Amino acid sequence: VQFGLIRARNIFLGGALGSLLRYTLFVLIGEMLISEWAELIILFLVNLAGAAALGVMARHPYFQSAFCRDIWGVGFAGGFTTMSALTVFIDATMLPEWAVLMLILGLIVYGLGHKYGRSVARRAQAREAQEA
Amino acid sequence: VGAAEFALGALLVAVGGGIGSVVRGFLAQWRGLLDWGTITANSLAAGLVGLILGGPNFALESPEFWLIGLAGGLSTFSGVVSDAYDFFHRGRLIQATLTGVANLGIPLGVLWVSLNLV
Repeated sequence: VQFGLIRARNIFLGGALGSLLRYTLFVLIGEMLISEWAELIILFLVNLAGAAALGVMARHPYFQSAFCRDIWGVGFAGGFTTMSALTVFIDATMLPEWAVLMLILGLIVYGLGHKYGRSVARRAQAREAQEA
Repeated sequence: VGAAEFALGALLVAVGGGIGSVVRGFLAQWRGLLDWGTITANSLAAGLVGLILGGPNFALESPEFWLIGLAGGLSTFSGVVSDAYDFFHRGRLIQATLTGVANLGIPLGVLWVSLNLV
């Protein structure tokens, strides 16, 4: 797929929205959770929710157009989740096992989202076939 | 956090996150044995964080733009999981494992080097 200005604009919009939501959650939950584990808890929430959402988007019929993929998949889900904060966390705490656990759980929730998106797509295909 | 402070921070995060995401989207086209584009984006984000945290404090005056926005938007966790799942789904277990290892290990190395370089 050619990377032109329209793609860049769509990814920018999705990325801005995803980053904004991540920042808002960090501020809101960070103020509510007074714990040394607060950052890790928010990282888990954000990254696992983003992975599950991207799993749904991979197969859900609504997200199959290039526009939706760019704005919601590459832009929003990519900008919402973060690896840099996780890298800094590992470097600061020397606890890489949390990152490994997050990756494994990420794969599981992505798979569940993928399965859900595929089931929606199959139901939509069956409905279309019935109507035809 | 005050409302005005939050609004300014949110604006900086949105602009930084949008720019970072566009760069990541462009890099994501680079695919091979592994998804090198995602690995590069995560490594660049870690290098940027290291340079900012370890270097001159010009960027620390607006961490919302540089760290939370630009580096956060440039790096991605969901992209790593998606790449690993695709390999796993096609029965390519070694590439799936390497995707996870490379996306954790290379950015960590880059972060360490950039923190200690400056």
